[in-house]
Amino acid sequence: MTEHVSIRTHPDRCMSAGTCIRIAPTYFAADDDGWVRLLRRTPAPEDVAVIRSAAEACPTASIDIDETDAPNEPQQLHTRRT
Amino acid sequence: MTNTQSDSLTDSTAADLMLRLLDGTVQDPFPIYDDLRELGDGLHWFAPMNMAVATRYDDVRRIATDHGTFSSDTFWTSPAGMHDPNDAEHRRFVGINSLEFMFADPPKHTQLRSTFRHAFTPAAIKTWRPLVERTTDELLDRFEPGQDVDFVTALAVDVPVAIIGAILGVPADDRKLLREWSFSMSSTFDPMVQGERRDHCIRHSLELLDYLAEIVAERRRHPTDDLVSLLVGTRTDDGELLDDPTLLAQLGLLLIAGNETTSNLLSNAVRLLMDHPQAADRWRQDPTSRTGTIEEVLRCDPPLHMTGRNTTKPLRLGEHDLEQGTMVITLVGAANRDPRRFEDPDRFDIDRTNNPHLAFFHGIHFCVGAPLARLEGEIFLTRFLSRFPELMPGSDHRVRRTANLVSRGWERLPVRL
Repeated sequence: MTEHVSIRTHPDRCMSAGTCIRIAPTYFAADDDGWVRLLRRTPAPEDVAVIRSAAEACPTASIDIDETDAPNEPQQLHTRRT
Repeated sequence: MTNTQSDSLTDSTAADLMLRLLDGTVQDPFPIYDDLRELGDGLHWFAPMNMAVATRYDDVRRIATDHGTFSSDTFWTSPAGMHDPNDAEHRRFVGINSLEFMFADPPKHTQLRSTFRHAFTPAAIKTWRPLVERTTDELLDRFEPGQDVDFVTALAVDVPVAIIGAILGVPADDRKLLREWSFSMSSTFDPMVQGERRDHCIRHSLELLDYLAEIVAERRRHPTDDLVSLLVGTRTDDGELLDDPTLLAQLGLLLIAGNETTSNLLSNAVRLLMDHPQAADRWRQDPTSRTGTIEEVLRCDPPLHMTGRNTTKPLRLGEHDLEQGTMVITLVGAANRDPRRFEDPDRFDIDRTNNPHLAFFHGIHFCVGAPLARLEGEIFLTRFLSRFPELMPGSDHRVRRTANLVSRGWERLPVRL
């Protein structure tokens, strides 16, 4: 069973706490206004734990992690929503 | 509610600890926080004040996140709302202050906060760097290496007000006034300030609001590139401009929230860096250590030690059944040293890589001024530590502030520069 993980960020919720950038600087940065900017959508398997702690630590819940068994499932979830 | 004997023992021990915390003489509250957090499940009922207390990291975060259940609409039941309803000036004051967005829930909170979010983008805050640097240098120019001073009165209380004053466009000559006004206004949040003293603080704070109203009117006529002009002209996400009372409430909040808390941050940082000289040396030599150091100061000794929420429905918190409208106090000072979350929590460790402390709180009320506080901390400490390489504790005793349980900093912090 292959686990597929992808990261989503929400700059509209971000308050620039900077927690994610300190925890995982190769994945998260700041955009021109200073809000969160995602550098890589798909984490390397060895980075999943650190990405998870960055998402968990975000004070404004601006990082989501989608985890599925199959890589195409997140899209299906979205299209099913009406 | 039925209690087993051990439960009531836990309850009475918790009540004793809370009474010790509240009696206003405890210099070091952290051992009490530890006891409260490790007693039972860390969730306590304090009957004398009809309130619940949360101490563990996960519980404090859960309460902060669930703003639908734990409301911030606490102004009228908090000390800030205490006033004489027969006094028109008192009514005018609380009428304005109750509009502060820290006391609002969504959707009002979202709407008010959206204007601040535009004004306080990290990019906007970066443009204030030269101003913060200049203001810091002016204040530091008054001192010589080797001088014995009380850091709190000589520097900590002056720096944030000078900076926020400059950002608000207040003339330098009026800054002393601004500091006194700000002190009066923060005092209205202190439950110990009652009677004649409260009356004085309210009237004095109204002078501040009237002064700010003049600045607002002036910026409406002649906008500049300063923060007030920006807030006057920024629409909320609903496309509305803020009306005057609402705007004044937020400006007043900005002043007091950015003032005492930042003074506490600076004093707490200087205290910890004097007690850990190797961390101070790292700060001087290695710029990459600075962010971690500020975060660790915020974790070990947060400027605000607690905050409160009101329950919006009956609920069970740990072993306690709470009615709707019950105050729940979250002890940030206790949560930030929860060993379940932080390894070796009492150690001041500037190299912690994962440090999601709650000093700026969590969720939708996460401190909007956090980037400014961090900027001030970084600029001030860099200049302060480099000008005074021999910085050490002064010979006199340190005195922690004890009367104000929420805003803990130092009353007196003697240093030799």
